[in-house]
Amino acid sequence: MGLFFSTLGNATSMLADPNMLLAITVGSLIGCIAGALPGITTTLAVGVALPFTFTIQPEAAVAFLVAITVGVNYGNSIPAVLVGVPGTPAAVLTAIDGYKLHQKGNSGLALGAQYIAALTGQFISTFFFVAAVVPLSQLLYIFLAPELWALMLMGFVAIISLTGKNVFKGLVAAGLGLVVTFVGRDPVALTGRFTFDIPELRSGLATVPVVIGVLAISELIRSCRQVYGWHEASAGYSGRFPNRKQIRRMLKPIGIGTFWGTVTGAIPGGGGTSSSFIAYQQAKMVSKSPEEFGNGSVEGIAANEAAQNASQSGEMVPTFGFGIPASGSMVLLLAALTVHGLVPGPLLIRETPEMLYAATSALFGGTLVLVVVGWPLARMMLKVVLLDRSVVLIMALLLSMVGVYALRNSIFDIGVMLVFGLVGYFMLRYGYSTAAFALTVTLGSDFESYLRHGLLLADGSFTEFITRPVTATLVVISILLLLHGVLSTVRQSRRMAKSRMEREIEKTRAKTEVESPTA
Amino acid sequence: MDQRKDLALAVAIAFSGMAVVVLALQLPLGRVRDPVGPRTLPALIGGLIVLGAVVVALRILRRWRSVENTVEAEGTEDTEGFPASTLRAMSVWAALFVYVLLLRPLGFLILTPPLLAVLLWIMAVRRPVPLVAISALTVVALYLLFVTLLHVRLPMGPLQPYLPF
Repeated sequence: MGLFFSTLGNATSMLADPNMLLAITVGSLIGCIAGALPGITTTLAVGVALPFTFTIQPEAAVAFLVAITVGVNYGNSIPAVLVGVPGTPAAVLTAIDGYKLHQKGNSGLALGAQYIAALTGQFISTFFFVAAVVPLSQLLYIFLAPELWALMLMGFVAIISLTGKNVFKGLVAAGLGLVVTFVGRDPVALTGRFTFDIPELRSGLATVPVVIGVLAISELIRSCRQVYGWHEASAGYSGRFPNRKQIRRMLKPIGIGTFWGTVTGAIPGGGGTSSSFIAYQQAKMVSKSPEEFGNGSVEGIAANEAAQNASQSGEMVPTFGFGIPASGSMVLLLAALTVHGLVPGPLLIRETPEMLYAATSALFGGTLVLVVVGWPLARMMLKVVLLDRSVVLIMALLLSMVGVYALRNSIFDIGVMLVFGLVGYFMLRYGYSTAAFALTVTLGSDFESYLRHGLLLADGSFTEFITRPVTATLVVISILLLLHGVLSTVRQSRRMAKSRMEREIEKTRAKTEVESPTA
Repeated sequence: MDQRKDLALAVAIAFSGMAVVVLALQLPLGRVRDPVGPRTLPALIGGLIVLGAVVVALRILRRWRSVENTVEAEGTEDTEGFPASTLRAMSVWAALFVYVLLLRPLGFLILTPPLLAVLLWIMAVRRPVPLVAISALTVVALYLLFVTLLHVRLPMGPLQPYLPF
C-alpha cells in the first residue's frame, strides 16, 4: 500500500518539473491532433514521434510517448462525432452514436459526453494501473534467467495467439523477428552471425529502425495504396454541453467502460477496440433506454469512450510489470526504453522506478492537459480533419526518415527502416502479425541470452532449467495459449469455409433459377 | 486477399526459413562453448519458420477448390469505396529507396524538394503551386527543426561548404 501511494506521490511531484510538464503537454497535443486524423493510429503516432525522444531525458521520453497515446485516444473520437469518420478503429462505435447526435444538431452533447467519459475513464484507470503494476514489481526476486526466458516466451505466444486471424502466420512472423536479432554478435561465443561481411551488420541491426519500419512505415506505405479525402465538410456545429441530468445518465456506462477497458487492455491483443465493443454491449444491457444505442445514445458514447481510454492504462500493466507489451504502441515504448539503456521486464520498476513514475505522471498529466484544452480543441480539430490526407502521409514518411537518421546520423538505418517497412507492408496485407514481429525484434536478444545463460546456471540441464516452478508454470501457460490460438484459427477457418460454401450454394441456386425460370 | 499471392508469400517465407537453417548450420562455434551454442537457436527458429510457412501453404491449398481467387482477408483491408493501387504504394516506396541511395552524394537540401514533389505527384497532388509550395516549405521547416534547433548533422552533399551549420 505504501508503494502505491509513494508511486502516486512521486508521479504527481514529477509534474512540477518544467521539462516533464512540457513533454506531457506537447505529447498530449500532438497525440490529440494525430488522433483526429483518420488512419493515424496510436502505434503510427508513437512510431513517428519515437526518434525525437532519444535526445531527451529517459523520463521525459517515456512521459512524452505515454502522453501521445493519451492524446490519440481522446482525439480519435472528435472526427468520429463531427464527420462520422473514426480516427482509429477503437472509435467506430462513437462514430455511429456520436455522428447521429451531430446530425440531429446535438454535436455539443456528443462531444461533451466524449469529453467527460474519455477523461474520466483515463483518470480512474490510472489508479488501477498503479494498483495492478506495483504488486508485480514485488515478484522480481523469483525471476532469474530461466523465469525471465519463460516470461518472454509467454509474451511472444500471447501476442501470436491473441492477435491476428491466423496463429500459424503469427508464429512465422515471430520467428522472422527472432532471425533479425540473430544478426550480429553471438551473446555467449561472441562470434559473428549472419553478417555476410557487411561492416554495418557486425554489431547487429539497430532495433528502432526495424521496429519503426515494420510498425509505422509499413502502415504509411499501405495507406498510400488509396487516395481520397478524409471527409466531406461537417454539417454544422452546436456547442451545448451536456446538462446535469445527462451527465448523471453517463456515470454507470463510464464505470462499465473503465472496468472493461482496464481489464481487456491488459490482455495482449485486447486493446481499445475489443474493450469498447464489450463495454458498449454491457452498457446497452443495463440501460433503461437500449433502443437509443446505435441511434445517438449518450450512454453508448460514454461506455465506448471510457473503455477505449481506460484500455490505455490497462495496456501499460503487462508492459511495465512484465516487459510484455499488449499492443504495437507498447512495443515501441519498450523499444524506447531499450535505446535508453533500460531493460524491460520485472526488474524495470525495481531498478528504475522513475520510469513508472514518469508513465503514471504522463497518464495523469495528459488527462489534466486535455481537461483544460480538450473542449476548445474539439472544435479546432474539425479543421485538422480538413487537411489533405496525401500530404499528411508523405509528411509522416519524411519525418520518420529524418527522425531515424537523427538517432545515429546513419543513412544505413534509414535503408534498414525502409526495407523492413516493405516487409511489414506485405505482412500487413497478408495477415502476418507485425506486432509479433516487432516484439520479438525488441526482446529477441534477451530471449536468447536468458536461455543460454540460464542453461549455464543449470549446468546445461534443460530439465533442471524448465522444471523450476515459475518457469514450468509459465511454459505451461504458453502451451495453453498456443493451443487456444490454434483452435481459434481452425474454428475461424471452418466458419469462413462454411460461409463460402453458403455463398456458392446461393450463387448456384440463383444461376439455376435464371436458366430455368419456369421450374 | 488473392490466395495465389498468399501462397507465393508462404512459399517464399518457407525458402527463407530453409536458408536460415542452412546458414545457421555453417556458423562458427567460437572458442567459448555453452550447452546451446550459436547454431542451435537460429537453426530451430529457421525450422519453425519453414514448418509454419508449410502449414500456411497447405491450408491455402486445402481451400484452393474455391471458385474465386480472392478470399476473406486475413490482413489489414483497404478502406471500402476507394480504388487501391499496389503500384502507387510500391512507387512511393521505390522513390524513398532511391532517395536513400542518393542522399549522401547529393545531400538533403538538393534531394528532398524533388522527392517531395515526386511523392505528392504519385499521391495525386497534381496542381503545380501546392506541389512546389509544400515541397519548398517542408524542406525549410525540416532544416530549421533538425539542423538549427536539434543540431542534427544531415548530409548536405555539395552544399556542405556553403552552409552555416
